Amino acid sequence: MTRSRLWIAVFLIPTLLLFTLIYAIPIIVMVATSFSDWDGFGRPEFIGLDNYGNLPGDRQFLLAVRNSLLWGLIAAGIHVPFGVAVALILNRRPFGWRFIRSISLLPNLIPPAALAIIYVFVFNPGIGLANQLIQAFGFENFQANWFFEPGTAFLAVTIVWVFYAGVIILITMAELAAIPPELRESALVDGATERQVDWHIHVPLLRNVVGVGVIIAVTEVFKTFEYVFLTTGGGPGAETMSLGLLIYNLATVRFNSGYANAIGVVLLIMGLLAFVLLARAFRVTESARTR
Amino acid sequence: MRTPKERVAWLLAIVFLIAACGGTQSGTTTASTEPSVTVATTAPATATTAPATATTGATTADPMAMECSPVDYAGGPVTLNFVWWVGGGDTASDTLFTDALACFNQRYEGKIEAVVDYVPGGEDYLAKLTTDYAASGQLPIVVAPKRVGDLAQIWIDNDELVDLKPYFDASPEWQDVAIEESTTFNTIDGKLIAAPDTFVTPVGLFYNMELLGQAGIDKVPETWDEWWATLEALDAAGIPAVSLHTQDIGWSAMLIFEALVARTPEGVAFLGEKYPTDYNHPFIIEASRDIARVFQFTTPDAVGGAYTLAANNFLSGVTAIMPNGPWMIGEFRDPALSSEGFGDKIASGLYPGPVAVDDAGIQVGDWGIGVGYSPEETAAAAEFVEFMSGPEFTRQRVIRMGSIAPNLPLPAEDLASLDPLAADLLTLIQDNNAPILPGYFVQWTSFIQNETIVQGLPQLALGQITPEQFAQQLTDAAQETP
Repeated sequence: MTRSRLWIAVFLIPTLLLFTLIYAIPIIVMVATSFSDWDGFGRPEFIGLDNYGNLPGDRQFLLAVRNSLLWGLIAAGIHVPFGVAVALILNRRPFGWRFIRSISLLPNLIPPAALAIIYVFVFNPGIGLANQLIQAFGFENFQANWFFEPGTAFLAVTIVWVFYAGVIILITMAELAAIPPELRESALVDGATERQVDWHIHVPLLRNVVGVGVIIAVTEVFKTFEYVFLTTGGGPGAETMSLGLLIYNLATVRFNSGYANAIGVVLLIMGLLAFVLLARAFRVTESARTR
Repeated sequence: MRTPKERVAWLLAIVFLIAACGGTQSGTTTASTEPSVTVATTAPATATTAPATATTGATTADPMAMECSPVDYAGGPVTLNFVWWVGGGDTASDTLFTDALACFNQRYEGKIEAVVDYVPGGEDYLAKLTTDYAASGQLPIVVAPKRVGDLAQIWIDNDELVDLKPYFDASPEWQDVAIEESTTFNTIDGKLIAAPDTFVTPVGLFYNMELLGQAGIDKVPETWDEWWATLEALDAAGIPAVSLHTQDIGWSAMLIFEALVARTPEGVAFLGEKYPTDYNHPFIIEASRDIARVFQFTTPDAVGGAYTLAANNFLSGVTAIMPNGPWMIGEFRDPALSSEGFGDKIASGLYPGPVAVDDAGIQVGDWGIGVGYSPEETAAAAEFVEFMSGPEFTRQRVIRMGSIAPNLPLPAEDLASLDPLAADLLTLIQDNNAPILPGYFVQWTSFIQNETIVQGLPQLALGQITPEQFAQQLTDAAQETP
């Protein structure tokens, strides 16, 4: 082993050690106990594939998967494009851009729990801002219990997070700053508009960071917990159930940790699949190599 | 005409006799059937103002001041670290606990110190105990089995609780105040797995008579016909009638639901069942239909709302009726929580029937000790558990919160400290021979309380599911092994 390889190994040891302790061992336990009947405390009893066999007939699980996939699509289709669009606008340095950049990051500084509680009041059917705003626009009789009516609950939970794209804005702006300014300047000299510069020069060069942003956003919403737990509790019925909340309920309310871990395995596989497919779709690693 | 004070003394004397003649109870913690407690009205007129026994400690000038004189204790010094919560909305209980904790530490100063790691609410207590137990496999030295729902059964099954029997048997004062049925219930295979209960707390309704007056109503409803008429009148006056919520096990709504179930003898018998597995009964379906109707007479934020929201709606004079226990009375008298003189507008009432609901019921006890600690630590914890289940704490519970302690006679001056609203509730129970129903929060599984009700009640209230579907949801959840 060369001296440089030895040093690489030395520097990797802490990371590998921490990963093993904090992630690898729990993941192994999760996978192993997902084949068991286990209350989370005593000795797990091996039951083969029974937990996995129960998943297709579990309405709450199916709704949670459906919601996770929908939120994943919304994250990729609205949340990330919104963040990129804001970053492109801010990149033009309009009046007050620093202020807007700062406030767009504020929600990232607020704990998700606090943000959820704020929206509990925003969507409160009695005193909430949402109803009052709609009533102020002339719909005096409008009255919605946003978080608990089937037609609005999913939308309301989604609104809590969808427009808070601070991380996307930040990483996109960092990537935009790394693009040589000569590209933009020469395009402008050739008669291109700012919009054309963004669309034909900046956006293609942002493919890498957009891909990373989509991976972050999609895997994040797959494991959504606080926003659902503190607003709808997964209701009405299980209309807004998330996989994270379902796992929590199974483990801490029903003490069915074996089944909860089977769903945890499904969540892990969904996250890995999303990562691989999105990385491939955006050619993230390829871009990193070629640039 | 008896004064409220005399009536309470009567009631306590009567409950006494009932407890003395108490029936038997299953020796296991599951599948037992608990009959509702009925307070008779024709008991002999004895001991209406029974003197405090020696075990209640010296009666101080202020009855609410606890007896905290140092006690002889050979062991120690030992520090007991455990988890508890304050801020769950029950300020009277919070205050009683913190006062009792300070009193205990004063009694055992230099020998035992109880140090509490507070969490913000009962659900957080359950979450912390669950997580810590899963992670470490060991319980804190002092635990509250009653407060952890179905997790307590896992502790019992895994033999995680110290046998309190040697300590209990060695303390006549503790034995005297304990409710015999609770002692029997908490004795499993000869071991006392948790401290027996020493009191019951009836839960009724509170009415804002000023708001009722605005609706042309001058008395609290006693029958279901009067109840619906009251709700209609309040609605016509533009007043949201009842404070309700659906989170936090749907507490306020489900109390009314219980009373609705208890309209038939079959319903009363059903409420006495521990962990019922079939809710597809006409009385459950009818109660579901009517609780959905009650939701038409509440605030728009009740569906999806938490207990604190419902409580605030009542305390701020928005709603006219609040289903809750006497621990809330302190909030009516606290200008920081309600308007000046708010308590004077309030009247106590029973649920139509009339019935009350028992805040606790015969179930696993409030205090236990985790295994795996040294004999000296365990003995110190037993001192704490005995204190928190003993005569002094029970006395405080009665005079501060209107609980009924069947085995603890109290002097008239102690009972005079009881808030008139709490005294009125006890008087109503006595005068109406009202059954005190076992609570759904004791009889039904944690899964049903924390998940099925929280998810299904909003659907029922908003008409998204039928009463039959709600009953089926409860059945499905009950049949799923927790």
